[in-house]
Amino acid sequence: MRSVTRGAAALAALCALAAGCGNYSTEDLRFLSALPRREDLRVTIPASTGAGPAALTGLTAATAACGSPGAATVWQWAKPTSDDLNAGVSWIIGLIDQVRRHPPTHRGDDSRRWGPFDDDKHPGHELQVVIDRSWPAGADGPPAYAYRFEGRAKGDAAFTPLIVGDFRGASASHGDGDVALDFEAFWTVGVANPDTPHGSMAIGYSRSSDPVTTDLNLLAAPSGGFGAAAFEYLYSGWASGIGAFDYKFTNTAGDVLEVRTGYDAAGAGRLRVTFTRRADGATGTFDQCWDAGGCLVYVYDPMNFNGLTPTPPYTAGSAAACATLPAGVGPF
Amino acid sequence: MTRLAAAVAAVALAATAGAAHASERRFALVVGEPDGGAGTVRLRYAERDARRIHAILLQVGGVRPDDARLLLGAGSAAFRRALGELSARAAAAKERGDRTVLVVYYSGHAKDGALRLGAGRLPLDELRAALERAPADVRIGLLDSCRSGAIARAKGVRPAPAFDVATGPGEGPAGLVLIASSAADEDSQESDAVGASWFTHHLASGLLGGADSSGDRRVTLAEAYAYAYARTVGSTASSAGGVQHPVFLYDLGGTGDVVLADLAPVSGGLVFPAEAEGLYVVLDRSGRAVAEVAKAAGAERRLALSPGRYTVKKRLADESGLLVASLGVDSGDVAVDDGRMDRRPLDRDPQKGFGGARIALVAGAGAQRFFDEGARDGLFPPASLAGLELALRDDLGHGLAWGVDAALGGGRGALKMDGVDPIPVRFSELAAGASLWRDFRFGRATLSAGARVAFTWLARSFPAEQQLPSQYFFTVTPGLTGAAAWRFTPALSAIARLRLNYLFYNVDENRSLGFAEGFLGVEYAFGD
Repeated sequence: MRSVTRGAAALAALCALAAGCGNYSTEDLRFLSALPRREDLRVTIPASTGAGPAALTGLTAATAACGSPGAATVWQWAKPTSDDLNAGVSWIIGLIDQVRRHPPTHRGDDSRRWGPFDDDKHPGHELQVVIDRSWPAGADGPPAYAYRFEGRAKGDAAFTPLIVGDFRGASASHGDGDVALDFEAFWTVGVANPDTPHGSMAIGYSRSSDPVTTDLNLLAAPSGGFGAAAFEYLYSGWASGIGAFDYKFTNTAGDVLEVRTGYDAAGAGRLRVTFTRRADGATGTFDQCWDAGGCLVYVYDPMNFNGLTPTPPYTAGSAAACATLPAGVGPF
Repeated sequence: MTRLAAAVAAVALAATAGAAHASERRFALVVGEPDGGAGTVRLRYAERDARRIHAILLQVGGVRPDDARLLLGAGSAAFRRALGELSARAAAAKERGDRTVLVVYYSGHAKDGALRLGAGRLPLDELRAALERAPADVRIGLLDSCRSGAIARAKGVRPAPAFDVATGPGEGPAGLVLIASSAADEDSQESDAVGASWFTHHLASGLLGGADSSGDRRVTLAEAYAYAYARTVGSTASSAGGVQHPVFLYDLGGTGDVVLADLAPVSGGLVFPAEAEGLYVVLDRSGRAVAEVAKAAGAERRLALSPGRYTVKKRLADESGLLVASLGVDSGDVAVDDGRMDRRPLDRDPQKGFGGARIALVAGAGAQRFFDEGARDGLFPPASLAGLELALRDDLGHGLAWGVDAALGGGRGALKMDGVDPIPVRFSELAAGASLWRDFRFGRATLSAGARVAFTWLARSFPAEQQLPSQYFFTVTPGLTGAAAWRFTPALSAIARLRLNYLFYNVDENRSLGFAEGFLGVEYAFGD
């Protein structure tokens, strides 16, 4: 041990005399800026969605806070859904953040590599991360980055991609990127955790213009992953506070509802639900509008999905009371 | 036996000299005038000469502070006014029955038969006439100026190494004595080496005891003149300005010599034992010569000095080196013993600024800045620094110093990258270095220049981007160092230091970078 310490000290001294030592690299930061951050992928839903699943006793019901026709419970599903998605994003970012905490093992003019490192959680396995930079628009244009998180069992020759992404722009907060996670590869290589989903997940995000968008595609995951349903979730957020969120959930009756929403800065909005009723397999749609307090101001339920009238269609309130949204935002 | 000897000595002293005693009043007009008006060069040491003589007259010359006037650059009118006032006071004292002595000292320019006091003139004839008619029993004129010997031209002038004064019982001496620093056709010279004019320097040294050839702890007019004459001629013999011969005129009646300095009441001083031989130079804490003692073996010589620490140097007769000692003078006599003095090479002469190795501690604050804008924006932002430096001056030779230093600092800035929002950065820097430099001293000012090599550690973190890793870089940074210091006291100086450093950065790419560090601080020198 003493000889090791002396050797390290001698190496450090030699290093300092011959040239500088350290990880003081601005270029490293440029490469790291290409990796998505938690806030780049996060789905942010207005507070009017309420407390989440615990409040969901039915699809539409009068409450003490909201008179007839009741609270916007479908909209209230947006929050737990976004929480599930954000949990998935956190899981991914947690992997990516491991890279940020360490200096690269190898530096090239247009590449950085971290690892291979032993995977402490999965002995006998090792991981590495590679980021390559290119200049598709020339040296004066914005760079493009391609990165991959790879794993392999020790002794294997080749690494298997686990997360693959690309990014166009100078930094994640000012560019467009895609991330694809192959959950099955995690299981195949042997670096999956018990909470690792199966299937795959693709995320596309754009931070280069207004609105910023996040597209989380869980269609290839059998159970969706991270508690969310298999669906292509679309989130758009404008700087003005206006947003749109397409999500999917299954209610307590087992009915599957796919929801397209649009909402204003105050949290008032519109939605259209495409449902598949578990009891009879019937499908259809209904529309709702709600105010900033999360209370319904308009319901149009042509198939009486909510069972609020003996004779469909059920209509309550006026469409004129619906929040005004820019063209193209919201379902109607 | 000891008491008997002391009594005999006291009686003998009282009988042989008209020493300053309780009934004698001494008045002194001391004038320093660096400005001689048009056509003259401002004198560097005229005022210091005057201050020095004024202090000596108060210390050992028997002049009370109330009876002394010190005029520095005051002009001819003030000269005349002060001379008139002191003459009147001397007349009043004489009327009261006191014996009176009036001493007039002048250091400055003289030209064309007149003292030059700024734009004013005081003809030598006028001064001499004023002294001749002054009511004091003894009037002494001491002139340190070019061609001042002209004042003694009329009669009694004797450019000679000494004069004899009759001694014997009876009334004390009375009359006029004029002593000039140079003959009527000679220039009087100043010396940067001693920081004074040669004549005044030797006169002062003599009055402090250097001229006490009899060893009776009294310096008489004859002793002082003989000493000043010999030393001034010796010091200027090989000078570019030519040899300078002090001259004197005396017109004294009565008996006995005039005692110019009485060293006995001054309790502190240096004692050169009987066997000591050679030229001793006494320097104060700032390295200025306060006295010289040119001593021959045979009699003890005592130099009266104010309390303080002094450096005594003696040049060895064979020119092989110096003997140097640092001695503290308090209320008693301190013996100068050649055997206990340190031997040094000639180039470590304390009179030329070499005070021996001195440890100094410097504390300062400053800033760092890289020259390249890209480096400042993208790598190493400006930072504030606080540092300490331990220096050993004159350790490797006269003027050569070395030191070690450490500085710690940091700052906040923004990392700017194309297409990326500026990222707030917290920057820190730690440096430890060793320097070798040379000091160039100019009075109280010291300029330094040298080389330095440092170990520099730089780091940054990103407080607003917690996911980004902290980064560090360390390397050896050679460079140049320079400083300007101003000494307020022998121990305390203000210092401004500038370092120019080279840094080779090699993480992203190989880059040669330069950066400057500037500090303002305080230096404290330990020891004497």
